[in-house]
Amino acid sequence: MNFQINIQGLSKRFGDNVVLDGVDLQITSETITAVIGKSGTGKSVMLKLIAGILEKNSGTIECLKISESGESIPISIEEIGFSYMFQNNALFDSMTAFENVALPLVEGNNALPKLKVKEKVDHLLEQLDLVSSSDRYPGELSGGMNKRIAFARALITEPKVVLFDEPTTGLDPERKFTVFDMIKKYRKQFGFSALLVSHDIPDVYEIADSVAWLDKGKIQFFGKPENIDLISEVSIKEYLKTGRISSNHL
Amino acid sequence: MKSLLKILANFVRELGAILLFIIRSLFAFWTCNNRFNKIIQSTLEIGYRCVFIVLIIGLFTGMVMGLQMYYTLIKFGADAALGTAVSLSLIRELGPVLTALMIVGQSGSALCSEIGIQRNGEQVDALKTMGIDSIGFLAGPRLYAGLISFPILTAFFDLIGLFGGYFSGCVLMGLDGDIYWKKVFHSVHFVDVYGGFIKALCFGIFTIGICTYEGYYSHLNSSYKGIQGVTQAATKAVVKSSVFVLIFDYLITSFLL
Ligand SMILES: Nc1ncnc2c1ncn2[C@@H]1O[C@H](COP(=O)(O)OP(=O)(O)OP(=O)(O)O)[C@@H](O)[C@H]1O
Ligand SMILES: [Mg+2]
Repeated sequence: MNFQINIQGLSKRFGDNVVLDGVDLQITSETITAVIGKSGTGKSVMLKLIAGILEKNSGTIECLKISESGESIPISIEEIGFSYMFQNNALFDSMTAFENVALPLVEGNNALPKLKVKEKVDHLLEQLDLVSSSDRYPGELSGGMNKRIAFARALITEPKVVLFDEPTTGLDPERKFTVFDMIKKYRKQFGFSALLVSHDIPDVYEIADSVAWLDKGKIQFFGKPENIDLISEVSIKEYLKTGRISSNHL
Repeated sequence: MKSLLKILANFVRELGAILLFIIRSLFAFWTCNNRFNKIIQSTLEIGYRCVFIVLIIGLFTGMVMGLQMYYTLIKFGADAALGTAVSLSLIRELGPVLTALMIVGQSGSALCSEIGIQRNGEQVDALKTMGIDSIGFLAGPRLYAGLISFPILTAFFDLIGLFGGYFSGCVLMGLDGDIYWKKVFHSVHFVDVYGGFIKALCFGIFTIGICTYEGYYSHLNSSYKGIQGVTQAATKAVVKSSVFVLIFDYLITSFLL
Protein backbone atom coordinates (compact mmCIF):
# COMPACT_ATOMS: atom_id res chain seq x y z
CA MET A 1 0.00 0.00 0.00
CA ASN A 2 1.29 3.43 -0.88
CA PHE A 3 0.57 6.22 1.49
CA GLN A 4 1.67 9.64 2.51
CA ILE A 5 1.59 11.50 5.79
CA ASN A 6 1.69 15.25 5.38
CA ILE A 7 2.41 17.32 8.43
CA GLN A 8 1.90 21.03 8.11
CA GLY A 9 2.36 23.85 10.56
CA LEU A 10 2.21 21.48 13.51
CA SER A 11 2.37 23.41 16.78
CA LYS A 12 2.26 22.37 20.38
CA ARG A 13 2.73 24.25 23.60
CA PHE A 14 2.47 23.29 27.24
CA GLY A 15 1.30 26.39 29.08
CA ASP A 16 3.76 29.09 28.07
CA ASN A 17 6.34 26.61 26.85
CA VAL A 18 6.13 26.57 23.06
CA VAL A 19 7.66 23.26 22.06
CA LEU A 20 6.73 22.90 18.40
CA ASP A 21 6.09 25.99 16.33
CA GLY A 22 5.12 25.06 12.81
CA VAL A 23 6.65 21.71 11.93
CA ASP A 24 6.40 20.71 8.27
CA LEU A 25 7.29 17.15 7.36
CA GLN A 26 6.27 14.53 4.85
CA ILE A 27 6.48 10.80 5.36
CA THR A 28 6.05 8.54 2.34
CA SER A 29 5.89 4.77 1.95
CA GLU A 30 8.96 2.74 2.71
CA THR A 31 11.22 5.57 3.72
CA ILE A 32 13.23 5.93 6.87
CA THR A 33 13.55 9.43 8.21
CA ALA A 34 15.98 10.07 11.02
CA VAL A 35 14.89 12.85 13.33
CA ILE A 36 17.77 14.48 15.11
CA GLY A 37 17.97 17.41 17.46
CA LYS A 38 19.09 18.51 20.87
CA SER A 39 17.58 17.05 23.98
CA GLY A 40 14.35 18.79 24.90
CA THR A 41 13.58 20.23 21.48
CA GLY A 42 10.36 18.27 21.16
CA LYS A 43 11.21 15.19 19.16
CA SER A 44 9.20 12.91 21.43
CA VAL A 45 6.36 15.42 21.49
CA MET A 46 6.30 15.40 17.70
CA LEU A 47 6.00 11.60 17.57
CA LYS A 48 3.25 11.66 20.20
CA LEU A 49 1.30 14.20 18.18
CA ILE A 50 1.57 12.00 15.10
CA ALA A 51 0.46 8.96 17.10
CA GLY A 52 -2.48 10.88 18.53
CA ILE A 53 -1.34 10.53 22.13
CA LEU A 54 -1.11 14.30 22.58
CA GLU A 55 -3.49 16.89 21.18
CA LYS A 56 -1.98 19.44 18.83
CA ASN A 57 -2.65 23.14 19.24
CA SER A 58 -2.67 23.90 15.55
CA GLY A 59 -1.56 22.55 12.20
CA THR A 60 -2.62 19.50 10.27
CA ILE A 61 -1.57 15.88 10.10
CA GLU A 62 -3.07 14.39 6.99
CA CYS A 63 -2.78 10.70 6.12
CA LEU A 64 -3.48 9.73 2.54
CA LYS A 65 -3.72 6.39 0.87
CA ILE A 66 -2.52 6.51 -2.71
CA SER A 67 -4.43 4.11 -4.90
CA GLU A 68 -3.09 2.40 -8.04
CA SER A 69 -4.59 5.10 -10.21
CA GLY A 70 -2.78 7.77 -8.25
CA GLU A 71 -5.87 8.95 -6.44
CA SER A 72 -5.33 9.93 -2.80
CA ILE A 73 -7.91 8.94 -0.22
CA PRO A 74 -7.79 10.33 3.33
CA ILE A 75 -7.44 7.65 6.03
CA SER A 76 -6.30 7.56 9.62
CA ILE A 77 -2.87 6.48 10.82
CA GLU A 78 -4.54 3.53 12.58
CA GLU A 79 -5.91 2.37 9.26
CA ILE A 80 -2.46 2.52 7.71
CA GLY A 81 -1.22 0.39 10.63
CA PHE A 82 1.32 1.97 12.92
CA SER A 83 3.27 1.21 16.03
CA TYR A 84 5.19 3.29 18.49
CA MET A 85 8.34 2.46 20.35
CA PHE A 86 8.47 4.66 23.43
CA GLN A 87 11.62 6.33 24.61
CA ASN A 88 11.19 4.79 28.07
CA ASN A 89 9.97 1.47 26.58
CA ALA A 90 6.58 1.54 28.35
CA LEU A 91 6.67 -2.20 29.06
CA PHE A 92 4.27 -3.77 31.53
CA ASP A 93 6.10 -4.77 34.70
CA SER A 94 3.60 -7.47 35.51
CA MET A 95 4.14 -9.27 32.21
CA THR A 96 7.10 -11.33 31.09
CA ALA A 97 9.19 -10.31 28.11
CA PHE A 98 7.27 -12.80 26.01
CA GLU A 99 3.88 -11.50 27.14
CA ASN A 100 4.93 -7.92 26.53
CA VAL A 101 5.94 -8.64 22.96
CA ALA A 102 2.86 -10.77 22.38
CA LEU A 103 0.44 -8.20 23.83
CA PRO A 104 -0.55 -6.48 20.55
CA LEU A 105 -1.17 -9.89 18.96
CA VAL A 106 -3.13 -11.27 21.89
CA GLU A 107 -5.27 -8.20 22.58
CA GLY A 108 -5.36 -5.95 19.56
CA ASN A 109 -8.00 -5.84 16.86
CA ASN A 110 -6.08 -8.40 14.83
CA ALA A 111 -5.61 -11.01 17.53
CA LEU A 112 -4.09 -14.29 16.36
CA PRO A 113 -4.45 -17.88 17.58
CA LYS A 114 -2.12 -18.87 20.43
CA LEU A 115 0.22 -21.10 18.46
CA LYS A 116 0.72 -18.54 15.77
CA VAL A 117 1.50 -15.87 18.38
CA LYS A 118 4.08 -18.09 20.02
CA GLU A 119 5.74 -18.87 16.74
CA LYS A 120 6.01 -15.24 15.73
CA VAL A 121 7.16 -13.94 19.09
CA ASP A 122 9.77 -16.66 19.54
CA HIS A 123 11.13 -15.97 16.11
CA LEU A 124 11.54 -12.28 16.80
CA LEU A 125 13.00 -12.81 20.26
CA GLU A 126 15.54 -15.16 18.80
CA GLN A 127 16.71 -12.59 16.31
CA LEU A 128 17.13 -10.09 19.10
CA ASP A 129 19.11 -12.48 21.27
CA LEU A 130 16.38 -12.53 23.94
CA VAL A 131 15.29 -16.18 24.03
CA SER A 132 16.85 -16.86 27.43
CA SER A 133 15.02 -13.87 28.94
CA SER A 134 11.62 -14.50 27.46
CA ASP A 135 10.17 -15.71 30.78
CA ARG A 136 11.64 -12.94 32.83
CA TYR A 137 10.06 -9.65 33.87
CA PRO A 138 11.26 -6.22 32.71
CA GLY A 139 12.33 -5.42 36.28
CA GLU A 140 14.79 -8.31 36.15
CA LEU A 141 16.36 -7.31 32.86
CA SER A 142 18.93 -4.71 31.88
CA GLY A 143 18.08 -1.41 30.22
CA GLY A 144 19.38 -2.58 26.87
CA MET A 145 17.38 -5.81 27.05
CA ASN A 146 14.21 -3.89 27.80
CA LYS A 147 14.94 -1.62 24.88
CA ARG A 148 15.10 -4.63 22.60
CA ILE A 149 11.86 -6.02 24.02
CA ALA A 150 10.17 -2.71 23.28
CA PHE A 151 11.66 -2.86 19.81
CA ALA A 152 10.25 -6.33 19.30
CA ARG A 153 6.82 -5.21 20.50
CA ALA A 154 6.84 -2.40 17.96
CA LEU A 155 7.61 -4.73 15.06
CA ILE A 156 5.53 -7.77 15.97
CA THR A 157 2.37 -6.46 14.29
CA GLU A 158 4.19 -5.85 10.99
CA PRO A 159 3.15 -2.21 10.91
CA LYS A 160 3.36 0.07 7.90
CA VAL A 161 4.54 3.07 9.89
CA VAL A 162 6.80 2.80 12.90
CA LEU A 163 7.61 5.70 15.18
CA PHE A 164 10.88 4.83 16.91
CA ASP A 165 11.82 7.05 19.80
CA GLU A 166 15.52 6.46 20.39
CA PRO A 167 15.56 2.71 19.70
CA THR A 168 19.31 2.37 20.18
CA THR A 169 20.08 4.64 23.12
CA GLY A 170 21.88 2.68 25.80
CA LEU A 171 22.71 -0.33 23.63
CA ASP A 172 26.24 -1.63 23.18
CA PRO A 173 27.71 -1.12 19.68
CA GLU A 174 27.00 -4.68 18.62
CA ARG A 175 23.35 -4.61 19.70
CA LYS A 176 22.96 -1.17 18.23
CA PHE A 177 23.94 -2.47 14.82
CA THR A 178 21.67 -5.47 15.29
CA VAL A 179 18.77 -3.09 15.79
CA PHE A 180 19.78 -0.93 12.83
CA ASP A 181 20.20 -4.05 10.69
CA MET A 182 16.80 -5.30 11.75
CA ILE A 183 15.17 -2.01 10.87
CA LYS A 184 16.81 -2.26 7.46
CA LYS A 185 15.84 -5.89 7.01
CA TYR A 186 12.26 -5.52 8.16
CA ARG A 187 11.82 -2.49 6.00
CA LYS A 188 12.69 -4.67 3.03
CA GLN A 189 10.53 -7.50 4.27
CA PHE A 190 7.37 -5.62 5.26
CA GLY A 191 8.01 -2.34 3.54
CA PHE A 192 7.41 -0.01 6.42
CA SER A 193 8.18 3.66 6.86
CA ALA A 194 9.91 4.82 9.95
CA LEU A 195 10.35 8.04 11.77
CA LEU A 196 13.38 7.37 13.87
CA VAL A 197 14.55 9.68 16.62
CA SER A 198 18.17 9.06 17.36
CA HIS A 199 21.24 10.60 18.88
CA ASP A 200 23.46 8.00 17.24
CA ILE A 201 25.08 10.26 14.71
CA PRO A 202 26.48 9.37 12.21
CA ASP A 203 25.56 5.66 12.57
CA VAL A 204 21.89 6.34 11.98
CA TYR A 205 22.70 7.86 8.58
CA GLU A 206 23.49 4.40 7.29
CA ILE A 207 19.90 3.30 7.42
CA ALA A 208 18.16 6.64 6.93
CA ASP A 209 16.94 7.83 3.56
CA SER A 210 16.62 11.34 4.86
CA VAL A 211 17.40 13.33 7.94
CA ALA A 212 15.18 15.90 9.61
CA TRP A 213 16.82 18.26 12.02
CA LEU A 214 14.46 19.70 14.59
CA ASP A 215 15.48 22.86 16.33
CA LYS A 216 13.63 25.81 17.86
CA GLY A 217 10.28 24.19 17.17
CA LYS A 218 10.78 23.76 13.45
CA ILE A 219 12.35 21.32 11.01
CA GLN A 220 15.41 23.36 10.05
CA PHE A 221 16.89 20.86 7.66
CA PHE A 222 15.36 18.04 5.68
CA GLY A 223 17.34 16.13 3.11
CA LYS A 224 19.75 13.36 2.38
CA PRO A 225 22.16 12.45 5.16
CA GLU A 226 25.19 13.21 3.03
CA ASN A 227 24.02 16.77 2.56
CA ILE A 228 23.73 17.66 6.20
CA ASP A 229 27.43 18.31 6.56
CA LEU A 230 27.30 20.73 3.67
CA ILE A 231 25.05 23.28 5.27
CA SER A 232 26.86 26.08 6.92
CA GLU A 233 24.57 27.05 9.78
CA VAL A 234 26.48 27.41 13.00
CA SER A 235 23.94 25.81 15.32
CA ILE A 236 23.77 22.54 13.41
CA LYS A 237 27.53 22.40 13.18
CA GLU A 238 27.65 22.75 16.93
CA TYR A 239 24.95 20.13 17.45
CA LEU A 240 26.68 17.65 15.18
CA LYS A 241 30.00 18.26 16.82
CA THR A 242 28.60 17.41 20.22
CA GLY A 243 26.81 14.47 18.64
CA ARG A 244 30.11 13.12 17.35
CA ILE A 245 31.80 13.42 20.67
CA SER A 246 29.09 11.56 22.51
CA SER A 247 28.90 8.80 19.93
CA ASN A 248 32.65 8.29 20.13
CA HIS A 249 32.31 7.84 23.83
CA LEU A 250 29.94 4.88 23.54
CA MET B 1 -22.48 30.34 50.15
CA LYS B 2 -20.92 30.65 46.73
CA SER B 3 -18.04 28.39 47.64
CA LEU B 4 -20.46 25.88 49.09
CA LEU B 5 -22.30 25.79 45.79
CA LYS B 6 -19.00 25.36 44.01
CA ILE B 7 -18.07 22.42 46.21
CA LEU B 8 -21.47 20.87 45.60
CA ALA B 9 -21.15 21.39 41.84
CA ASN B 10 -17.70 19.83 41.89
CA PHE B 11 -18.98 16.89 43.86
CA VAL B 12 -21.81 16.25 41.42
CA ARG B 13 -19.50 16.64 38.43
CA GLU B 14 -16.99 14.22 39.89
CA LEU B 15 -19.67 11.69 40.77
CA GLY B 16 -20.97 11.88 37.23
CA ALA B 17 -17.51 11.47 35.78
CA ILE B 18 -16.87 8.40 37.91
CA LEU B 19 -20.24 6.93 37.00
CA LEU B 20 -19.55 7.40 33.30
CA PHE B 21 -16.09 5.93 33.73
CA ILE B 22 -17.57 2.84 35.38
CA ILE B 23 -20.18 2.35 32.68
CA ARG B 24 -17.59 2.87 29.98
CA SER B 25 -15.20 0.35 31.58
CA LEU B 26 -17.89 -2.27 32.01
CA PHE B 27 -18.80 -2.04 28.33
CA ALA B 28 -15.29 -1.54 26.93
CA PHE B 29 -14.14 -4.67 28.71
CA TRP B 30 -16.09 -6.72 26.18
CA THR B 31 -13.71 -5.58 23.44
CA CYS B 32 -10.83 -7.35 25.24
CA ASN B 33 -9.83 -10.94 24.66
CA ASN B 34 -9.36 -13.66 27.31
CA ARG B 35 -12.03 -12.00 29.43
CA PHE B 36 -12.69 -14.94 31.69
CA ASN B 37 -9.04 -15.30 32.65
CA LYS B 38 -8.74 -11.61 33.31
CA ILE B 39 -11.72 -11.55 35.65
CA ILE B 40 -10.52 -14.62 37.53
CA GLN B 41 -7.05 -13.19 37.88
CA SER B 42 -8.31 -9.84 39.18
CA THR B 43 -10.72 -11.55 41.56
CA LEU B 44 -7.94 -13.69 42.97
CA GLU B 45 -5.76 -10.61 43.28
CA ILE B 46 -8.33 -8.81 45.40
CA GLY B 47 -9.26 -11.95 47.32
CA TYR B 48 -5.69 -12.95 47.98
CA ARG B 49 -4.75 -9.50 49.23
CA CYS B 50 -7.76 -9.15 51.48
CA VAL B 51 -9.01 -12.48 52.75
CA PHE B 52 -6.67 -12.66 55.71
CA ILE B 53 -7.34 -9.16 56.96
CA VAL B 54 -11.09 -9.58 56.41
CA LEU B 55 -11.09 -12.76 58.50
CA ILE B 56 -9.13 -11.18 61.35
CA ILE B 57 -11.22 -8.02 61.43
CA GLY B 58 -14.39 -10.09 61.13
CA LEU B 59 -13.46 -12.32 64.04
CA PHE B 60 -12.60 -9.47 66.36
CA THR B 61 -15.58 -7.36 65.34
CA GLY B 62 -17.80 -10.31 66.19
CA MET B 63 -16.05 -10.79 69.50
CA VAL B 64 -16.34 -7.13 70.49
CA MET B 65 -20.00 -7.14 69.51
CA GLY B 66 -20.56 -10.27 71.55
CA LEU B 67 -19.10 -8.60 74.61
CA GLN B 68 -20.75 -5.21 74.22
CA MET B 69 -24.14 -6.64 73.45
CA TYR B 70 -23.84 -9.06 76.30
CA TYR B 71 -23.30 -6.26 78.83
CA THR B 72 -26.07 -4.15 77.31
CA LEU B 73 -28.61 -6.93 77.01
CA ILE B 74 -27.99 -8.43 80.42
CA LYS B 75 -29.05 -5.11 82.00
CA PHE B 76 -32.51 -5.71 80.58
CA GLY B 77 -32.40 -9.41 81.25
CA ALA B 78 -32.51 -9.95 77.51
CA ASP B 79 -29.23 -11.79 77.15
CA ALA B 80 -30.93 -14.53 75.19
CA ALA B 81 -31.29 -12.04 72.33
CA LEU B 82 -27.52 -11.90 71.84
CA GLY B 83 -27.66 -14.05 68.69
CA THR B 84 -30.26 -11.78 67.16
CA ALA B 85 -28.38 -8.61 67.96
CA VAL B 86 -25.00 -9.83 66.73
CA SER B 87 -26.25 -11.46 63.54
CA LEU B 88 -28.48 -8.63 62.41
CA SER B 89 -25.96 -5.88 62.97
CA LEU B 90 -23.24 -7.93 61.30
CA ILE B 91 -25.17 -9.01 58.26
CA ARG B 92 -27.05 -5.79 57.67
CA GLU B 93 -24.43 -3.19 58.49
CA LEU B 94 -21.03 -4.04 59.78
CA GLY B 95 -20.26 -6.88 57.40
CA PRO B 96 -20.62 -4.99 54.12
CA VAL B 97 -19.27 -1.69 55.47
CA LEU B 98 -16.19 -2.97 57.26
CA THR B 99 -15.34 -5.43 54.49
CA ALA B 100 -15.57 -2.65 51.92
CA LEU B 101 -13.37 -0.38 54.01
CA MET B 102 -10.82 -3.19 54.43
CA ILE B 103 -10.72 -3.95 50.71
CA VAL B 104 -10.37 -0.27 49.87
CA GLY B 105 -7.43 0.08 52.22
CA GLN B 106 -5.79 -3.12 51.13
CA SER B 107 -6.59 -3.53 47.44
CA GLY B 108 -8.07 -0.25 46.29
CA SER B 109 -5.00 1.80 47.08
CA ALA B 110 -2.72 -0.76 45.43
CA LEU B 111 -4.95 -0.86 42.38
CA CYS B 112 -4.99 2.91 42.09
CA SER B 113 -1.21 3.18 42.38
CA GLU B 114 -0.66 0.40 39.88
CA ILE B 115 -2.74 2.10 37.22
CA GLY B 116 -1.27 5.48 38.16
CA ILE B 117 2.26 4.16 37.68
CA GLN B 118 1.23 2.74 34.32
CA ARG B 119 -0.14 6.11 33.35
CA ASN B 120 3.09 7.71 34.45
CA GLY B 121 5.25 5.17 32.61
CA GLU B 122 3.27 5.69 29.39
CA GLN B 123 1.96 2.13 29.35
CA VAL B 124 -1.56 3.55 29.10
CA ASP B 125 -0.54 5.49 25.99
CA ALA B 126 1.20 2.40 24.66
CA LEU B 127 -2.08 0.48 24.89
CA LYS B 128 -3.72 3.16 22.81
CA THR B 129 -1.08 2.89 20.09
CA MET B 130 -1.63 -0.88 20.03
CA GLY B 131 -5.32 -0.38 19.39
CA ILE B 132 -6.27 -1.72 22.82
CA ASP B 133 -8.96 0.07 24.79
CA SER B 134 -7.00 1.06 27.86
CA ILE B 135 -10.03 1.68 30.08
CA GLY B 136 -11.55 -1.68 29.22
CA PHE B 137 -8.21 -3.42 29.59
CA LEU B 138 -7.14 -1.86 32.90
CA ALA B 139 -10.35 -1.01 34.73
CA GLY B 140 -12.81 -3.51 33.23
CA PRO B 141 -11.57 -6.75 34.81
CA ARG B 142 -11.10 -5.04 38.17
CA LEU B 143 -14.68 -3.80 38.24
CA TYR B 144 -16.11 -7.22 37.46
CA ALA B 145 -13.74 -8.67 40.05
CA GLY B 146 -15.12 -6.18 42.56
CA LEU B 147 -18.63 -7.36 41.82
CA ILE B 148 -17.57 -10.93 42.55
CA SER B 149 -15.18 -10.52 45.44
CA PHE B 150 -17.01 -7.99 47.61
CA PRO B 151 -20.04 -10.22 48.28
CA ILE B 152 -17.84 -13.27 48.84
CA LEU B 153 -15.53 -11.51 51.27
CA THR B 154 -18.53 -9.96 53.01
CA ALA B 155 -19.96 -13.44 53.48
CA PHE B 156 -16.65 -14.57 55.02
CA PHE B 157 -16.72 -11.57 57.32
CA ASP B 158 -20.28 -12.26 58.45
CA LEU B 159 -19.63 -15.93 59.08
CA ILE B 160 -16.50 -15.53 61.09
CA GLY B 161 -18.07 -12.57 62.91
CA LEU B 162 -20.92 -14.80 64.06
CA PHE B 163 -18.36 -17.23 65.44
CA GLY B 164 -16.59 -14.33 67.14
CA GLY B 165 -19.84 -13.33 68.81
CA TYR B 166 -20.43 -16.92 69.86
CA PHE B 167 -16.93 -17.16 71.27
CA SER B 168 -17.05 -14.05 73.44
CA GLY B 169 -20.75 -14.28 74.38
CA CYS B 170 -21.07 -18.01 74.98
CA VAL B 171 -17.62 -19.49 75.51
CA LEU B 172 -16.17 -16.61 77.52
CA MET B 173 -19.24 -15.10 79.19
CA GLY B 174 -21.12 -18.36 79.58
CA LEU B 175 -24.35 -17.83 77.67
CA ASP B 176 -26.04 -20.88 76.22
CA GLY B 177 -24.56 -21.62 72.80
CA ASP B 178 -27.65 -23.44 71.53
CA ILE B 179 -29.84 -20.45 72.21
CA TYR B 180 -27.32 -18.19 70.49
CA TRP B 181 -27.35 -20.19 67.24
CA LYS B 182 -31.11 -20.73 67.37
CA LYS B 183 -31.63 -16.98 67.65
CA VAL B 184 -29.21 -16.41 64.79
CA PHE B 185 -31.10 -18.77 62.49
CA HIS B 186 -34.50 -17.49 63.54
CA SER B 187 -33.87 -13.81 63.28
CA VAL B 188 -31.93 -13.61 60.04
CA HIS B 189 -34.33 -13.44 57.13
CA PHE B 190 -33.74 -13.43 53.46
CA VAL B 191 -34.27 -9.63 53.31
CA ASP B 192 -31.37 -9.05 55.67
CA VAL B 193 -28.97 -11.20 53.68
CA TYR B 194 -30.27 -9.69 50.47
CA GLY B 195 -29.79 -6.16 51.82
CA GLY B 196 -26.22 -6.92 52.83
CA PHE B 197 -25.59 -8.47 49.44
CA ILE B 198 -26.93 -5.41 47.61
CA LYS B 199 -24.69 -3.20 49.71
CA ALA B 200 -21.65 -5.35 48.99
CA LEU B 201 -22.32 -5.22 45.24
CA CYS B 202 -22.84 -1.49 45.32
CA PHE B 203 -19.71 -0.84 47.36
CA GLY B 204 -17.75 -3.22 45.15
CA ILE B 205 -18.50 -1.51 41.90
CA PHE B 206 -18.24 2.05 43.20
CA THR B 207 -15.13 1.79 45.37
CA ILE B 208 -13.19 -0.11 42.72
CA GLY B 209 -14.57 2.36 40.20
CA ILE B 210 -13.30 5.31 42.24
CA CYS B 211 -9.88 3.71 42.73
CA THR B 212 -9.36 2.85 39.06
CA TYR B 213 -10.69 6.27 38.01
CA GLU B 214 -8.27 8.11 40.28
CA GLY B 215 -5.37 5.99 39.05
CA TYR B 216 -6.28 6.34 35.40
CA TYR B 217 -6.56 10.12 35.59
CA SER B 218 -3.77 10.63 38.11
CA HIS B 219 -1.88 12.76 35.58
CA LEU B 220 -4.77 15.20 35.24
CA ASN B 221 -6.25 15.37 38.70
CA SER B 222 -3.13 15.71 40.83
CA SER B 223 -1.26 18.90 41.52
CA TYR B 224 2.02 16.99 41.18
CA LYS B 225 3.53 15.23 38.19
CA GLY B 226 5.14 11.82 38.33
CA ILE B 227 5.13 9.39 41.21
CA GLN B 228 4.16 12.04 43.73
CA GLY B 229 1.01 12.58 41.72
CA VAL B 230 0.32 8.84 41.89
CA THR B 231 0.65 8.71 45.67
CA GLN B 232 -1.62 11.72 45.92
CA ALA B 233 -4.15 9.95 43.71
CA ALA B 234 -3.99 6.81 45.86
CA THR B 235 -4.66 8.82 49.01
CA LYS B 236 -7.57 10.58 47.35
CA ALA B 237 -8.96 7.28 46.12
CA VAL B 238 -8.97 5.77 49.60
CA VAL B 239 -10.53 8.81 51.23
CA LYS B 240 -13.22 9.18 48.56
CA SER B 241 -14.06 5.48 48.57
CA SER B 242 -14.36 5.39 52.34
CA VAL B 243 -16.60 8.45 52.45
CA PHE B 244 -18.65 6.94 49.65
CA VAL B 245 -19.12 3.70 51.57
CA LEU B 246 -20.42 5.45 54.67
CA ILE B 247 -22.73 7.86 52.84
CA PHE B 248 -24.18 5.19 50.60
CA ASP B 249 -24.54 2.79 53.48
CA TYR B 250 -26.90 5.27 55.03
CA LEU B 251 -28.78 5.88 51.79
CA ILE B 252 -29.20 2.20 50.95
CA THR B 253 -30.25 1.39 54.48
CA SER B 254 -32.93 4.07 54.45
CA PHE B 255 -34.25 2.66 51.17
CA LEU B 256 -34.25 -0.91 52.38
CA LEU B 257 -35.79 -0.40 55.80
N1 LIG C 1 3.42 16.17 29.18
C1 LIG C 1 4.16 17.28 29.17
N2 LIG C 1 3.79 18.33 29.92
C2 LIG C 1 4.51 19.47 29.92
N3 LIG C 1 5.61 19.65 29.20
C3 LIG C 1 6.04 18.65 28.43
C4 LIG C 1 5.34 17.41 28.37
N4 LIG C 1 5.99 16.58 27.53
C5 LIG C 1 7.05 17.28 27.07
N5 LIG C 1 7.08 18.51 27.60
C6 LIG C 1 8.09 19.56 27.30
O1 LIG C 1 8.31 19.55 25.91
C7 LIG C 1 9.65 19.77 25.63
C8 LIG C 1 10.16 18.73 24.64
O2 LIG C 1 10.16 17.48 25.24
P1 LIG C 1 10.53 16.15 24.45
O3 LIG C 1 10.35 15.02 25.38
O4 LIG C 1 9.77 16.11 23.19
O5 LIG C 1 12.06 16.37 24.13
P2 LIG C 1 12.99 15.46 23.22
O6 LIG C 1 13.38 16.26 22.04
O7 LIG C 1 12.35 14.16 22.97
O8 LIG C 1 14.27 15.29 24.14
P3 LIG C 1 15.17 13.99 24.42
O9 LIG C 1 16.14 13.90 23.30
O10 LIG C 1 15.84 14.30 25.69
O11 LIG C 1 14.27 12.82 24.51
C9 LIG C 1 10.40 19.80 26.94
O12 LIG C 1 10.70 21.13 27.24
C10 LIG C 1 9.43 19.26 27.92
O13 LIG C 1 9.56 19.94 29.14
MG1 LIG D 1 12.58 12.28 23.63
